[in-house]
Amino acid sequence: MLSVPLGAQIPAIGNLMNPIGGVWSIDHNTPKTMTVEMPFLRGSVTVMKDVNGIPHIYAQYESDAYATMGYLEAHDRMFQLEMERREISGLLSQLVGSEALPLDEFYRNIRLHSAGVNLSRYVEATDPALYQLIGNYTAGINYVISTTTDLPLEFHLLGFEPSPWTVGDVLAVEKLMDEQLTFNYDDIQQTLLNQTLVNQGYGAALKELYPRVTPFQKPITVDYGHYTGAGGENLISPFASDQFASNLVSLMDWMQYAQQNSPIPAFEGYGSNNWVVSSAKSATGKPILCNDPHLGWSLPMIWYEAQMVAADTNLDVQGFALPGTPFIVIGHNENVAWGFTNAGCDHIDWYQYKTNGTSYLYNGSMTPFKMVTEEIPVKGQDDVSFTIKSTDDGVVIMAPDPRNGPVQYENATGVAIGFKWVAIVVNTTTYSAIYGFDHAIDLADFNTALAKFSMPSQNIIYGDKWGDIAIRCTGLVPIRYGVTNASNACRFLLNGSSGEHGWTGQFIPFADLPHSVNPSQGYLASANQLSAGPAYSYYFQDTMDSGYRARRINDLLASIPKVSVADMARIQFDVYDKSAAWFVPQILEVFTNKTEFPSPQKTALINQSIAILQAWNDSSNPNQYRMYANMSAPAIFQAIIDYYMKDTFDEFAPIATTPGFQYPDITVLENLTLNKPNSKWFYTGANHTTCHDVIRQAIKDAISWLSTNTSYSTITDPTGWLYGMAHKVAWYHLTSLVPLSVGPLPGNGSGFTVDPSYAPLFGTATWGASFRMIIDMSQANHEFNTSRIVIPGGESGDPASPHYTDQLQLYLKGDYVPVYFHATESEFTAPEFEANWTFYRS
Amino acid sequence: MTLTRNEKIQRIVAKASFWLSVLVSYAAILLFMTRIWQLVIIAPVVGGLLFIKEKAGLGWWSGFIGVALATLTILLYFVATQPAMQTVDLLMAIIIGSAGLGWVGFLLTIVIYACIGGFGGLIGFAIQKLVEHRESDK
Repeated sequence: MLSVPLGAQIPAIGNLMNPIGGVWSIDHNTPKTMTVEMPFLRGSVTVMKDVNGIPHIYAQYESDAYATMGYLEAHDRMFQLEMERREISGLLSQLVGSEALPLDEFYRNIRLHSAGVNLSRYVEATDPALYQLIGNYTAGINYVISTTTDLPLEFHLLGFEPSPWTVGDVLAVEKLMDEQLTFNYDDIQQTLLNQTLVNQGYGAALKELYPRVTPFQKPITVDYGHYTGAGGENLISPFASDQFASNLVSLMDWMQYAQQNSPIPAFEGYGSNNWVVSSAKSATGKPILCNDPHLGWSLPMIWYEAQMVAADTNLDVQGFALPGTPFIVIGHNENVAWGFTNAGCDHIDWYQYKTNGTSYLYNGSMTPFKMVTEEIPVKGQDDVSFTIKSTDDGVVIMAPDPRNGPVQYENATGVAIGFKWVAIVVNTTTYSAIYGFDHAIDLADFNTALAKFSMPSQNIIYGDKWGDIAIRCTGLVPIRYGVTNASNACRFLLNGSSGEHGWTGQFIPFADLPHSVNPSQGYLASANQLSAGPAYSYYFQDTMDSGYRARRINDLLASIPKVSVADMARIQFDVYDKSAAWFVPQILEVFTNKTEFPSPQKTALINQSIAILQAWNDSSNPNQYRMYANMSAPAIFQAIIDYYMKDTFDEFAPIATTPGFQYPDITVLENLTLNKPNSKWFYTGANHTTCHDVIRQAIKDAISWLSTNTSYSTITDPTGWLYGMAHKVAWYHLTSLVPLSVGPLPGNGSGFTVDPSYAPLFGTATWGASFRMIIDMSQANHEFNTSRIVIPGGESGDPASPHYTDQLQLYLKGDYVPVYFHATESEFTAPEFEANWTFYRS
Repeated sequence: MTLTRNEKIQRIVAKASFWLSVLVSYAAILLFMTRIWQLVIIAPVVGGLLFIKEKAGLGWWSGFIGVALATLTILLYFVATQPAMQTVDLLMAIIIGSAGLGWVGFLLTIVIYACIGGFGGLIGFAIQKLVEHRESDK
């Protein structure tokens, strides 16, 4: 009886509670001193674990530093590493059974792991030194796996053991980030959206309401001009039959399902911030650089913080690595600092091919698909065979959704759908670039490394102790036939059989990527907005943020003559909603106009609610337009804006739940309100109403909705409609088990605040700043003690460790932990560290 | 009622046998170190087989107490040297749904393996009686 699992969630009690070998003897292994014999080291290594549990690795040889990094990541994050590897490799069904088959088939279909394995062969042949360093790192991981007898709690719960890592696994982690940040199916969504709008008689809407460049964008780089009005226009691609549209819906549904249910949190939100000020604009006299990448939240977090020092190569870097990788991806060394935001470049195109199931039509002739068949191990049943087809040109055909049975839509309709994606058709050199960042000593050095950065495209911001600041939107962006920045023709599903807008085989040259260096304004900032203005000639970017965060950051940096570290911290924690700053005065203008909003229509609740907004709108109010959880104005504002959007585009109500449909960007509504207040989109049925009429209706609808919502229905006074009751934030463990998770908690911020967290009202946000970093380059003598870092979670993946969530409370309060950046281990003072470990060769 | 000298000696021997059986069962602590919990039953079986002569109930209790003490010793070691209790707290929260119930896991662990010990003691006693019975049949 004790050997039999108790249902799906509780493993066999005999093993689970076994005093030695079960949960009691789990090796938490956090001694103050420890010596570890690793036979593959060249020399000895000292690791100082600071009081936040963050390791500082001091090695004689760089190869040993990376081996030790592997050991530490596996020691602190073994379960996360295992889930990451299994997700990438399509091996989750082996753990949990057939319910994970749709995920495994998806990840195998998009070829993440095979791309990592192929890349490892390429790196071994072209950069054997780098290959060797990554090999040392995997040796460190595998040493922990092979010597740990008492595995972390999660392994006991799921009843399995970790497997060894290879260099290919490590390189495939980059592919996972490529997937999270660039594998989108916007082209399919746009095609479906277009078809839906045309079917409903709104064919012209796409051009007006869904421009590629949304209004009011302030470009990241300052040297390519500015768009005016609504920006670029669309070309309309031909679309197909209803049956084909149904197949597209099925395909998108599968991809969304797989990405949303994968253990490593999907990239739900779209955002990150980075900015840097020049020496002249800095209160410290040297550049100060900030970064907070917005990614899915989880416990443990997606980043692993460390300092690595190696005497033989002058490696001396500190920052954030992705678990499963050896190098510091974002951080600083003694000379330079750098940070990332996602650039939203178009690295992927989707195609449709005529097919008979085994061959596809291309340039007038049928060509056999290349086929690879893989066996997927599934717990409790036989292996499942899975065949992946691809074209000679590198387009991978998507298989049917495994949840819908063996429906071969490609046979049923004679059409196959596939994608061509830079991440798997190019041998990317991103790892080599990041290795270069870690060692860079100045801008020229950094740019040499930057030229190797392939995927995922990023706006990489830079500042150094010599006084240079720069930003470059970097990545391999394919040049397509017949596509320019003005035409942006490849936003739709393309005709692969005719070679429509195929890739030329060239990428935008590094020198031509949008960039700015030492601008006269004294600062640079990116927040996922438009990369470059209309003077930029290449087609580059297919997704961009609404731009409110960018506008706010630019406003703040421009308004502060000399920016200090404290100012930077305030900006990173800023929850001023720029959209509220624009829309709230519009709402109040309508309300106070007695003609537009006659008194008889103003109920007591409406009057009370608007009074709250009026106080929030007061420029003397220190909380003006701040999205704080303990205030009611943000909830009232958010509800009114949601209704303003829905009431304006009420024509779309019947199709609002259609897959692929999305309401226009909020800046489009801002643009219509400002410049076209009598637009037909504000008409109500046959009545030629204006934007003010719609706002009036939105106020009524929103207040009525809030007052009847379950969370607020017992609160008669709108001052009690606290935003935090309707806006939660949560950090879920990779297993989603509630006792290992934090939240939902009342949350500050919105999708448009510098400190972001977005969810629809009465929802829970699970993404936001994945860390906050402020690096002040003014420090001499290897000290960065004015710099600040915080991560929403902690360094350890062990739920029983004090470092599992110790930084989360600081993060929620807008606090940071100090940066300990000592050149040698002996410089640590007693209060700064909690453990001192030695690794040596036998 | 006064006991005769022989009765006193028999009682002392019986008590000593019981505690010797407990002691043998406590050797389960060594079997736990194999990490194969099923082997733990061997110690109380041997204890019951060698020392429990009179009542099946004594066989049960000698194994139960011996293995309970062995389990308790190991658990206390891990609680003292590692955040083991926090981990079991989390485990209980996952299984039961309420926080702060690590002590339930603590007691549950002891009872589970003590019961295995009890069965072991019982089996040892039964084997002994079976052997005695067969020998008397001869």
